[in-house]
Amino acid sequence: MANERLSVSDAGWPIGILFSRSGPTGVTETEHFFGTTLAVEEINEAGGVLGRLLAPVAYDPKGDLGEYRRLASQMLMHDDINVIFGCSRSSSRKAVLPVIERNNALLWYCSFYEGFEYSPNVIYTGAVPNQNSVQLAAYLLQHRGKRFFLVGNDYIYPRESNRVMRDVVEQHGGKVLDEVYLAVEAGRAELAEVLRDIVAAQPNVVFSTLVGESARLFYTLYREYGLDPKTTPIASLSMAEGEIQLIGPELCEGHITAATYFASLDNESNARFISLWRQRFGDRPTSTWSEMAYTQVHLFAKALERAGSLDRGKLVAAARSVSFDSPEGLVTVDAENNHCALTARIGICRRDGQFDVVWESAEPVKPDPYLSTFGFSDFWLK
Amino acid sequence: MTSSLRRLYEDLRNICVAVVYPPGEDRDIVVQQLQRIGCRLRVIWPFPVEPPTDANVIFFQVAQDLEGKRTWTAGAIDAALVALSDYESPTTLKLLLDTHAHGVITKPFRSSGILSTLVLARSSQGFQERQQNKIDKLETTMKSRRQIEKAIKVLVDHQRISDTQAYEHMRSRATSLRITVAEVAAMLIEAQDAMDRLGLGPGTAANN
Repeated sequence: MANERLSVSDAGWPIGILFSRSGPTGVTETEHFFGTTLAVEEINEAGGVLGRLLAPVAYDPKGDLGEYRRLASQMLMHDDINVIFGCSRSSSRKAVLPVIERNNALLWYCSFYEGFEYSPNVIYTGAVPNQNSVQLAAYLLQHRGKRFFLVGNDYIYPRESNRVMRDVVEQHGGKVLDEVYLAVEAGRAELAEVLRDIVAAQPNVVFSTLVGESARLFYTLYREYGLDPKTTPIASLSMAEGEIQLIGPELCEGHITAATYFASLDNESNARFISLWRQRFGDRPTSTWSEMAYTQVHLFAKALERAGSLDRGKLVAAARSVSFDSPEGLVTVDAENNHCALTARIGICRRDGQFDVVWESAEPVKPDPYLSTFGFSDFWLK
Repeated sequence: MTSSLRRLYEDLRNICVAVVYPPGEDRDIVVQQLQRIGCRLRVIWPFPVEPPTDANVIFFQVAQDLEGKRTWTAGAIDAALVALSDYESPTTLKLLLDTHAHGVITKPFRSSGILSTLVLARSSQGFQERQQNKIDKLETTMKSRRQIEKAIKVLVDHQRISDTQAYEHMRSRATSLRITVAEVAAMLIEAQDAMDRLGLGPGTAANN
């Protein structure tokens, strides 16, 4: 028995990594994966946590919801893992949640999402609508005009994001010209039809919650229809540096994204992050997708250092009392709801694929995952 | 108290419960718990266009991607509806409200809570049904009261009898004809309408 315990401690802290490297979310989840890897290697390089290295086990669910659940079970029941970093959409998080809760494990979830969830077994490190959507709506109304065209893929996040956008736009004198949903696998023909509708409707801004391949194709085709991002930009919550490089930055110049991180941020922590990233992954850019994944592993390491245990209850309690000076600024976990206080930002894409940050919140915005109405007070950006 | 408790228990053993949900671990949790409770079960998938007809309770999936495609609502169904929901975001809550379900269970599903929701949904459906019957009955009563009053007026005008005599007359005819007073009233009003149409109403020569 004593020997066994000793060998376990020698083996390090077991953790699970569960991101898809292919499938509809393959590109952005690969960024999650690289960000996670980078932080794990950085922490281990510095000697681990309390003298023990992090010992990751990684599986690839390939975008299949059944696989997320199966592989999470595999980690929790066969690999002696109690802490998982993974999932990138609400559908995959919901798929693993029953397994996570039943085993009293802890999931670190780093994507932005629509809110309206709390589990004592999840730490949510991505933005909820009061940390990105509302600010984006205010910015667009203040600087771009009142005529909005909404297009998204047909699943929960676009529908919720559009609900917030419509609500806020209509409350502040704007107009939603149309709200269109396409299947996740929508191709050239479907996108062409939407683009023709946009040309005809003449909006001031196109709010897009398209994701993955259809989003990249949408940006690629945009100019072909005579639409100029400088006068009629696409505004997005998800289009970041990694995907922009795949599309071709020159096609994306002028489009707008709301995110908590941009690679162009000038601070010490970001400089360190980018330099480590370049050594490890070369020319590939950092983005909000890799940065949040990187940041949450550091938050976890700080919590683990304080808790000295992988026990879910002890880790969550510790996570609520630590903070991390991340590449996007100070990140803390809100003890009330397990979501994070994050700095909201608006960026405009440059010709080199980086973003000019045109607005950022003066301090981290407290997460409010159950916020369903957005009042007038403090709405307009200063 | 004891007898109503026994009724509740026996009732659950006799009712038929349909579960409309895609296969997998989540459905297994619900199905296995309903089996433990002892309900008769029907598991249905894919989502049927028409609701299952012979079920007393229907557990069914509420999901974003079902919107506009496959939904039926409580008003049209003679069963208690329990929604099985993935999300609690506003757009999903709207979908949930549109179903008029009597109960809801949200993921992650657990065996505990299913029985309570089942009992509560059955009870509120029963209560709603009784309320609806009461409303229907009251509406009928109000309608017949208006007819009876109208018929009394016809009799008073034509037969030169008092209100009370008119009502008494209708009531005794109803008894001997084995129909309701409201039906007698309806006959009278119909007859008067016919007379009016034939030019034989009050104030005409025939009446004087």
